[in-house]
Amino acid sequence: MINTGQIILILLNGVTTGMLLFLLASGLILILGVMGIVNMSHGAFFLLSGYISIAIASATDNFLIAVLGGTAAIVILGILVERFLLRRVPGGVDAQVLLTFAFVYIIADFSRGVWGGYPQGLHAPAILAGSVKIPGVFMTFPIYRLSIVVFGLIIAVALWLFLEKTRFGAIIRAGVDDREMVMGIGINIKMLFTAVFALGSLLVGLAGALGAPIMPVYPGQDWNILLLGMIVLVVGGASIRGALLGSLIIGLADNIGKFMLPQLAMFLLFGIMALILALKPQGLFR
Amino acid sequence: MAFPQFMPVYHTYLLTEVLIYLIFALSLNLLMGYTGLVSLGHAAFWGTGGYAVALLMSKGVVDNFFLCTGAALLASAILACIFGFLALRTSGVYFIMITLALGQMLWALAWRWESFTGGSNGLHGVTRPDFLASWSQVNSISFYYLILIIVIPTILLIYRITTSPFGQTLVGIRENEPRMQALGYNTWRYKYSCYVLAAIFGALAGALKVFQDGSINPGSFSITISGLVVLMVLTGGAGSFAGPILGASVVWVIKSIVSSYTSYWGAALGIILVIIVMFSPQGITPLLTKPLVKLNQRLWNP
Repeated sequence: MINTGQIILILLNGVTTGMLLFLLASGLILILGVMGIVNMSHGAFFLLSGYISIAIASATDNFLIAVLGGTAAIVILGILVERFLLRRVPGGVDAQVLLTFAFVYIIADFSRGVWGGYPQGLHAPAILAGSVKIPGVFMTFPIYRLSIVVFGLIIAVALWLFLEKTRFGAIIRAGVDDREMVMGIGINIKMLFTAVFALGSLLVGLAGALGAPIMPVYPGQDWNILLLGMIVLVVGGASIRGALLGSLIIGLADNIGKFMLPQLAMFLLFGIMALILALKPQGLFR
Repeated sequence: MAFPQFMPVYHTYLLTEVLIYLIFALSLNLLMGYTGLVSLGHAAFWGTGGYAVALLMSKGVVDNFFLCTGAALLASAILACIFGFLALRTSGVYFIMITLALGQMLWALAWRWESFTGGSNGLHGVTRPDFLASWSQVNSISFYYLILIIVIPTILLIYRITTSPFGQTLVGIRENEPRMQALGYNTWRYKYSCYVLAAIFGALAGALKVFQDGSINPGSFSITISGLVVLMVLTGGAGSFAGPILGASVVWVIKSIVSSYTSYWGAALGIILVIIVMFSPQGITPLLTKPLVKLNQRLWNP
């Protein structure tokens, strides 16, 4: 028997996870939509951002600088990777995907070499520490997690505004719809690709840094989170709306699954993914 | 195929291991090289084959080498029928993604379902067939010959498949699927059959590996194994027959050497993959065959 308080807690945790996932998935979807590749190293970027943020935090004792630093590092990495490697791959998108796949191994071993194999974490900043009481039930919820939810919503709105109301956003939407046409009307496709990859890296860098206080940072997290991101992509469909709603669904399902049947929580996610693939392969919200 | 009687046991072990990985690479090549479907989750079948054997043997249900291996192939075929149906709803990069996800699912399952799969400890107690010999040094050698007897016909069988009309149709699908459809081929059925075939051969390799090791753990489902076999196929050259054979050998040698010096062999493999993708996407086979072709030309046209 579960009480209302627990239900609310599961829901809140689910939304928190969902928001982090949204940051990751939106980047993944932008890169997929515009460049046509599934960035396999997205999870590795997430992990690396966590590690770098933790390192900066222990050096400067400042959460904000740590988050900004971790994110910036990933953006720079993304730009370098795209500019000097991804762009120069002879061959199509399949080859590029394999290249991003190779990076995961390199980043994983690099991280393990520098920071070791033990899970690491970060303390939430003092102003966001502590918990807030949920009215009506005997439960409290960490303020930090709430702030992630709020932040995620802000980013979602900002992304929507960016894509709908700015010229650059229009170019991105056009690229998603018809890449060849965009090339044909004279838009600098190379810069577009670099910019989109950088944007995707920014989002996942933020996710990794902000996630560090609530998700342990350890080798293997890269594949775990990438898997979740890919499930979101399949379930939600390749759009920002799909990323948001899909992330929420998967975040909730993950938390519900872990609460009810911890051993086989993965099975629930797999079941959802299989169901969507069987019935609506383009995703729910395409 | 040197004579293991003259080698230290460890070298026999490595040689046996390479032969097993050869089958694994050839199985993926059917899917990736000939049909053009890149799978990052082929370890799903390697692991299924292995766990099928391990489950039957460690729980004491079945003791027979052939029955266990047969069960491994059957289990993998059934799994492939289900997975293939889902995965082939997609194509291109989505397919890559789904196969990765499916492989990871099995890995997580093997990890968490401790009562069934032994969790992170895995399963032990797989014994090699004792109709050959039972003392350890000779056992390694006799096991090597057993593997050889199994692997060589398998290679020939895969070769026959690739050169058959079925295999050529797969190549046609890889090159231009719409055209094949226009010619009246049910391309989905071909892709599905190929997926299941690749799974069966992959499971064979996985089952043999469990017999070699005596135990299995969730690592057999891991992305590391999936990535390793992809690297083997790419390094040798996807789509050619000799490619995966060469690639499996080369990658295995590199991995063995590097891992004896450092635990960071993953990064080494990643770097090799980057180099292959950037500079020689056809793998190293063309690097070897082109000079031979030139030499041949020069001999005949002085």
